[in-house]
Amino acid sequence: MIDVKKLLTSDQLWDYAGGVFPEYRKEQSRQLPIQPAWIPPFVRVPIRQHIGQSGNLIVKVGDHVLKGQLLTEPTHGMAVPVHAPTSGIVEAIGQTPSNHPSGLNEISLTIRTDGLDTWCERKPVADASTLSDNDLLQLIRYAGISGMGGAGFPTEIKLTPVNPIELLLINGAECEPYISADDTLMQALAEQVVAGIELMARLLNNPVVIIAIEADKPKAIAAMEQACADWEQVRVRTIPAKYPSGGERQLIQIITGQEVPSNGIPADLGVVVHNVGTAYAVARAVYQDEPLIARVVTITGNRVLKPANHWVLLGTPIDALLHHHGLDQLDPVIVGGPMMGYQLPHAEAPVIKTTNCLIIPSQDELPSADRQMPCIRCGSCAEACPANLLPQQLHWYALAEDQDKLNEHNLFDCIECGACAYVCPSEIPLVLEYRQAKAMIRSSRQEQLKAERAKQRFEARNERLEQEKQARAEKHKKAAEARLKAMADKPSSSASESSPDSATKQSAAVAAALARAKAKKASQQPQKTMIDAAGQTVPDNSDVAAMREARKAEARAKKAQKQSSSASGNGASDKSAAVAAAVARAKAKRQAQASSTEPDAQQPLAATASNAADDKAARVAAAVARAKAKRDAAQHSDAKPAVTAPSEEQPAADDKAARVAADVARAKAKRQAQQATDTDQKPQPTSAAEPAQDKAARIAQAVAKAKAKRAQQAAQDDSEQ
Amino acid sequence: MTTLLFALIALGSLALIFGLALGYASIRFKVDEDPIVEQIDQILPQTQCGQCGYPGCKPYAKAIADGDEINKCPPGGDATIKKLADLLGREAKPLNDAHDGPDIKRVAFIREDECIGCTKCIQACPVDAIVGATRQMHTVIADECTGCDLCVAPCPVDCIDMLPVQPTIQTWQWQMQSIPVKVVDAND
Repeated sequence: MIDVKKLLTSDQLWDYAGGVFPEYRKEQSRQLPIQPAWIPPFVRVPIRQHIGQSGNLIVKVGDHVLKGQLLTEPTHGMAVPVHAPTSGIVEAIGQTPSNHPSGLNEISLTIRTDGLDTWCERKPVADASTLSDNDLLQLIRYAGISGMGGAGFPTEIKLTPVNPIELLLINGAECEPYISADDTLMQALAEQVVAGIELMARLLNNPVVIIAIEADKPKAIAAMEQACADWEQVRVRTIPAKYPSGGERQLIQIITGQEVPSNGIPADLGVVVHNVGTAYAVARAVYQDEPLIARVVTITGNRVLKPANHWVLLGTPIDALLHHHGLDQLDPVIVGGPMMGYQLPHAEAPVIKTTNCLIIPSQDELPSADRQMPCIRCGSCAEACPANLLPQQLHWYALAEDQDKLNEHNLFDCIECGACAYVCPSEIPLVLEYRQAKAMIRSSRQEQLKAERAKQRFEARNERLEQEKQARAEKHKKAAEARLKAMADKPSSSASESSPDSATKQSAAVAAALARAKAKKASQQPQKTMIDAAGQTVPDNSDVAAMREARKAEARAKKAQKQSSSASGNGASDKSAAVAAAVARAKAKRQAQASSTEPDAQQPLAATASNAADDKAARVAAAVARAKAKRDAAQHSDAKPAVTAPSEEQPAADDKAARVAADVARAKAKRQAQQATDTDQKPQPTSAAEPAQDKAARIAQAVAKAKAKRAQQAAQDDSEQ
Repeated sequence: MTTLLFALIALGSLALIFGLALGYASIRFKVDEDPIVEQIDQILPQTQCGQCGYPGCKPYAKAIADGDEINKCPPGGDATIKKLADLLGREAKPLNDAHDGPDIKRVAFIREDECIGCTKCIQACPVDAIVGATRQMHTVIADECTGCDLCVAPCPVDCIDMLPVQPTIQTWQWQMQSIPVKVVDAND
């Protein structure tokens, strides 16, 4: 492990491979004082401003909120709450443009400010030693503090590490050009920053503390040294100004000489790194009971008249903020530094917890984006890479989308610092390529996981269906046995007188029952395959195809309907149009369904014919029933339009009623279509709730049943004789 | 003569020993299923949509192992065809012309105020991603939906739509023309 005691005395510093020396351009914005916060007319607070999940919203539209009031409740581990940055009324909760390179919308609260800036009730802690560690952690958690350096990792989690921590490294390097937010914070509020560091050190069981500041910030170094003069465990180290020394892994290497393993985290070495801004936020949260609602933002760039650092309320829209500072032409705006930052797609996006800098560059400050040339394999990027990667190889593999090779070359160790793109003579946007490649690999991993889960669910479902099928079969078997037994008991009581015949009688009964069951099963089969087609363990593919066909036909019908309605469009009311559309859809569907069921209907016939060979009577009965039902079905299909027609003629009173009517009509049409096919398969009486025209079918069924019974009786008599 | 006899005995006994060993191995290390099927199944997207003409991904994987074409999987698209071609040493072909489905990911969405609670879509869903009960409103668990669209056809009131999946900040792929990653020039 690291010899931390030596770190307090020795003057040795290490270096990491690579790195670049860009022009820093910090002078223009680093002068004191930090400008006070401005209250915009409204603020837009995204509910998620860090890495992890958002908390649950606990306010609603119309609520009056006070400054510092909790807006979301952190319900799970990686959730960090957000607070109202000033007092006002929650005007809206919804999707608004995010402060993210994608510019996609995200859920945020829009608060109309009242300008009074009224604080909610606060309970500042005068002496932190009265608090238990757990209370202190909860306080930090509920203050909504996440890393202010860039990534935005929840601070509370980093302060409760699994490994014992021997070194707390405070990152005041701020190596990226233009940015001077941490610099001015340390100059102006060193005492409070150190107070925050003390609290952090206490939570980590008082490790050695090193505050690392780049050599180009002499005032900040002096201020910090003075602030922690009477604290033994701490030391301020001046490190050479080189980009990206402020990277977590690079900073650890400079101070300790050790490298964080590729798949590890700093805590594996017993080190935790926190930003100075985070330390300040911790001090504010504890000693002033002020949650994280404002931060220092550097507003700079050649187009800014007075570059400076400002306190900015989190949620302040960037366009309003810049407008307030006299900037009207807002394209482009760069969020973060020039190396790792991004161009803001929508200027109305808000300032969030990780926004440390806004650059509004002039034309000549930015090189044009279209000067990219092919890679000449000069190798400058490999020399500049602080993570010891091979950027040009990654470039080729990223272009080829070769995920295996990208992983082999440790793409995920790339810290996206932009040093390679900075030195590239061909001006290839390397970092963008790596970001895209990373996103691609992440999404394909996600897809892999999802596919795995879908597979498991599919298999579990099949298993369940199989079990249900078996259970059903078991039940039927038991019922059949019970019936047999009952039947066997009955004749045996009568057969006790005429014993010689009883055996043959019994076997005849069994045969008859079997035949009946078979006939029933055969006749039920087609209906089942039709309904279950898609959901069966082994669904019939022709059915799937037919269903797709049906949908296409439906879509066509819909389109036709739409066209005709728009063509007519002469004041026919919306309702009747909707009803007509529903009818058309139902018709199209019915047609398709009929065509899909026809081939199925043939199956049972053949099946019955072959299966029932052992029972002549059952076969005859089934055939009669089929013929009759078929005739009835034909009658039904004639009658169908008559039923759907009325619903077409009587438009409903209001929209809802129309929709209900349409649904009912559709369902009815569908049911009829179903019944038309049902009746020739199910020779048994169906429910009484059927329409009147089913009467004929029912009579036919009854006749068929009676005939079957008679035939069976005859068979029984035959065998008895 | 004895030499010949010894040689024959030696060879015979060797043959017997190896025969026994092989016989034992064929029982002990029996592979129930063609391992290539498992590998193919890993590559397929597991939407269980049946657009390939088979009742699920596994049956199609079996069919591919038995020599069927590798270009019948619209949800997988060209990426899946390429992987299959690599695995099987076959030539990658463009997607089967019979399918003209869009390449974007979709999930089913039930218009809940129109749902009549018939449970037909629940029966149709191959991955149990629809919840609901008889005469109760149904809804789709969007995270589990594979976008196979098998639930759309059975719906008697046509209240299921297949909606394209909207990108979120988490799933965004950095599709942008360019970003000014490099804006500072040290030499000027």
